[in-house]
Amino acid sequence: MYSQTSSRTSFAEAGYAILEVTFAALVAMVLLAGFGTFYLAQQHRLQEQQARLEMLQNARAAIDTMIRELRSAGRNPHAVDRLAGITVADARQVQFTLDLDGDGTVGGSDELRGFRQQGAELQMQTRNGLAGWMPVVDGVSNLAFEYYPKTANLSDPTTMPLGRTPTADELASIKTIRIRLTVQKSVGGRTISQTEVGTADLRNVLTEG
Amino acid sequence: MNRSLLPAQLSNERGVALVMVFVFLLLLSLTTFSGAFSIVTHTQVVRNIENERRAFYVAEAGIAEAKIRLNMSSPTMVTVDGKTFDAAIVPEAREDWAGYLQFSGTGPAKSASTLKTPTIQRAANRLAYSTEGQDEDTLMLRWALDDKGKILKINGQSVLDVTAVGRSGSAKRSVHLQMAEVLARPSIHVNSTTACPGLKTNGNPSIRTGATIQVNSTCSGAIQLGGSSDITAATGQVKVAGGIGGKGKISPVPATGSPVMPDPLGSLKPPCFAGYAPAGCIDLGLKTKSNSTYKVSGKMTLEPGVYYGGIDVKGGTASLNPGVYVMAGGGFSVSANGSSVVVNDPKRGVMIYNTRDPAGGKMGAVSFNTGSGNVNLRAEPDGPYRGIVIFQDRDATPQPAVTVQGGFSGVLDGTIYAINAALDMQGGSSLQTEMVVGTLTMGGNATILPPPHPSTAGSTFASIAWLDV
Repeated sequence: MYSQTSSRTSFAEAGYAILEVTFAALVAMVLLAGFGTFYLAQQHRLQEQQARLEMLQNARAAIDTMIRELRSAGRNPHAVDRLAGITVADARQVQFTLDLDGDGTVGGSDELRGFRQQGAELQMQTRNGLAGWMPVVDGVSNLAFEYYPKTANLSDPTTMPLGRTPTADELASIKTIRIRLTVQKSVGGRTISQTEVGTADLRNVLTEG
Repeated sequence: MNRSLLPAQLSNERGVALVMVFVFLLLLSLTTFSGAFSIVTHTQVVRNIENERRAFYVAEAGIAEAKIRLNMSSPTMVTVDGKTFDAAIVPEAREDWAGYLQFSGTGPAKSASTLKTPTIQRAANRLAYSTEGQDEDTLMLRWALDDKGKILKINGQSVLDVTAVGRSGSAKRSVHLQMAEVLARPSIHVNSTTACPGLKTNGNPSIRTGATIQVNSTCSGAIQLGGSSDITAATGQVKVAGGIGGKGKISPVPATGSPVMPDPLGSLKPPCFAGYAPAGCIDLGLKTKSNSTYKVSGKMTLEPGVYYGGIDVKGGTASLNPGVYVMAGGGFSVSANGSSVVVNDPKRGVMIYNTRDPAGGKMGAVSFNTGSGNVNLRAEPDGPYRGIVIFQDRDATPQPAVTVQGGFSGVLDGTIYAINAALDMQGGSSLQTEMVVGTLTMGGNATILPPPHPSTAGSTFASIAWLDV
C-alpha cells in the first residue's frame, strides 16, 4: 500500500518536475537574455564613455597646450611696443612669434609658433617652414579661433576673423583668443564627438602703464 | 503536498534560484564595477585638471603680488596675520640681490643682499606660491644678468626676473615674468641739448619740485639764473648736462656735466582721429565735437573728442567730462578774468592733445592768461595717458610755445608733455604741475610748485615679457 502510493506520487511529481524545470529554464533564459542585453548595453555605454573620456582628455590637453603657448605669444623683452607678435589670425589657423632662444629678441630661426587643423590632425608649428608642423592630437573634426581686440570684451560683435586678411594694426590689437576644438571618434559603428572651448589671454600685450 | 513525502532530488531544486541569484548578482556587480571604475577614472581626470588650473592661478597670483609690491612706495605698512611690515619691495641695485616672499615671517637673511618678506596674502587664503629648488613657500625676484654678470638692461632699463611656482595637489605650474625698472622721471625735464640756455630765469621766479630737475642743454650756461630766482629740488637732484650761469639760488648743488637723459615719455603714443593716424597712434574712437573754434563764454559742459579750431575759454566756465580732448588746430586758450576750467568727475581726469588740423590749418598754442578764475585740470589716473595732462604733438612744425601769463594761478595735476616746445611763464603766474618740455623760461614772480599727485615719486616696474613655463 505504501509502495503503491509512493510509486504513484513519484511518477506524478516526476512529470511535474520536468514541466517545472522547463518552465524554470524558459524563465531563466528570458532573464538571462534580459540581463545579457542589459550587460551588453552597459558594456557598449562603457566603451562609449571611455572613448568620450579619452577624447575629452585629448581635447583638454590640446587646448591647454595651445593656451599655454598663446599666453607667451609675443615674448620679446627688447621690444618697446609690446605686442603678441601674431602674424596669422584666421578662423582655422593662428601663428605668432616669441623669443624661444632666450636672447631677448625675436627673429632668430625657429621662433615661430602656430596651430592649425590639417585633415583630422591638430598641428603645432615648432620650427620655421612647412616641415615644422607637428601633430598634437588626431580625430579633430573642427578647430576654430576667434580673436578679440584689447578694447573689446568677449561679447563684442566686432571680433575677428573678419573674412579677409587682417591689417597689421588689427593683428596688433588682438588681446584675447577663444579656441573651440571638436574631436570625434567612431565607437561601435557610431560617431561620437566632444567639443572643448578655451580662452587665452595674451599676457605679453601691453595693457598697463 | 506533504513536504516530508518529497524525494530528495526535488528538494534540491531550490538551488536553481540560488544559481540565478548568483548570476544576477554577478551581472549586476560587473555593471556596477565597470560604472564605478569609469567614475573613479573620470573623477581623477577632473581632479588633475582642477589641480593644474589651480596651480596656474596660484602662480599667477604670486606674480600679481610681486607686481603690486614692486610698485608700492616705501614704507607702506600692512598687517597680515598679526605681523606688521613694510609691504613695498625696493630691489637693491646690486647683481646678487634677491627677494623672497614667504608665508612664515621674515626669517634670517641668507646674505646681506637677500630680502625675505612675508606675503601680503593671509595664510587662510592658501595661495602658496613657491620657487622650485629654493625655499618652500616662497616667490623669487632677482635681477636678470647679462653675459658679463652685470644687471641686464633693455632699452636702458634694468630687468628684474620674477618667478612663481604654484602648487595644487600633485600639479605644479611655473610662471616667469620679466619686469623693467622705470626710473622716476624728473619733475622738470628740459630736453633740448642745443638750446642755450635750456632753463632761463629773469626777475624773481621760483621753482619748487619734489623730484629731480633735469636740463639736457650742454652749453656752459645751460641753466641761466637771473635776479633773485630760487630753484629747489626738495627730494631730488638738479642735473644739468652743461654748466650754470647767473646768480640766483639753486639747491641742491647742481650736478653739472650729467648725462643727457632721453625723453622720459618717448614711448607715449598720440591719439588717432579722422585724417590723423601717425604710426602707433591709439585709437580711442574720438568723434568730432566742433568744426570751428569752440568758444566758452558761459557755463558749459564739454565732451571729449576732436575740436577742429581748438577751444577758447574767455570769461566762461568749461566743465570737462573725463577723456581725451584733441585740439586739431587752434590750440587751447584760457583768457580773460573769471575763466574757469575744471574736470567734471572727482575720480577721473582729462588729457588735452594739441596738434595741427590735418586738413592743413595752423596749429594753435596752449596758453593760460587770466588773472582770476579757477583752472584745475587733472590727468587720468589710468589708461594710456595716465599722468599726462597736456600733450603737444612732438612732430608738428613749428612748435608753438606753451604760455602762462597775466597772474594766472592754476593746477595742472599731471605732466605737461611738450618735448619740442618752449614753456614760457611770466608775470606773477603760478602753476602746480610737472613738465617735459624743450626749454623753460620764467620771468617776473612766476612760480612752479609740485602738483597734488606727483607722478615722479619713485621707480616703478612695468611688465615686459611673460613666459608660461
